Amino acid sequence: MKRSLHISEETKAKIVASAKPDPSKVHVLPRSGGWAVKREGAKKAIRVVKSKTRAGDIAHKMVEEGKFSSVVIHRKDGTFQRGA
Amino acid sequence: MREGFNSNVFINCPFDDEYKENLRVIIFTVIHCKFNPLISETKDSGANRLDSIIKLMKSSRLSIHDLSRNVSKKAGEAMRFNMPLELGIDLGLKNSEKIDLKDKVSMVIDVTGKDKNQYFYQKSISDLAGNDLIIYTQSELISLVEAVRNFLYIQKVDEAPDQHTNIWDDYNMFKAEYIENLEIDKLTINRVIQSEYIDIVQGYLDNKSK
Repeated sequence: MKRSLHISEETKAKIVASAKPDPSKVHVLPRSGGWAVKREGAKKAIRVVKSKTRAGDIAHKMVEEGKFSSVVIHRKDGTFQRGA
Repeated sequence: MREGFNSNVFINCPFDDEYKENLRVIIFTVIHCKFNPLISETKDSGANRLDSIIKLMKSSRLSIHDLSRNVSKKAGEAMRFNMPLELGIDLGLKNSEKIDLKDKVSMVIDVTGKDKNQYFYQKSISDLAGNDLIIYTQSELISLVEAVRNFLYIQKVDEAPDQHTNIWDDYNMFKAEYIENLEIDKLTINRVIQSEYIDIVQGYLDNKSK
């Protein structure tokens, strides 16, 4: 049987600290049958579109327009898509 | 968080690796809705397992029972009886003579699958006829968030839970940070014990709402 290991206190603290919303970030998140463009900390999405590419384009355009400082793109498996 | 019987939610589900993502989603949703998840793993392993489970059930007004392992995947594979057994015990407690347990409310859930609908239960557990059975989709776990959130919404909470889409988005934001930070400790997501996961989600959502 695989042994479960404990997470270090430092890592736990980092995860908990990451909860504080940074409203200068806009996320592209998987939804049922589409992708949501959402400000970090907001309750509602700005847009929900079918294509991930389209959602990314909308988010990047808002950064160009100065509405946000950066885009965070998520994959369907729940990980970050870095370098997006 | 409201502590105690009214806010405790006993989760009766499989604990295999294949199911762990579903369990993480259920736990996150329960905590997001400001309830307190209880699973058998959270109690001392030295005690008799069934005694520990019954103790958890007695301390929880609400319970979620996932019966998705009620069919074997291939010929000769044993089906899992733990979940139906625990559902039976929970329903028995509700119908016992103890007044304080009469308020118990159970939600029964299952994944979609071939021939799996309410008629499946009329055949396999016909005594459940008349009880609500919520079917969710494994490939779209937002449907599991919605099922759990809606079940908790109607349980007379002081404050209405967020929309399921917001809980799902929050879960995805949390999960991405969680996976990335676990890599620092050279851990993979399925190796973290659920009680530790509950503590982290609790800390994360408490900090988010500050």
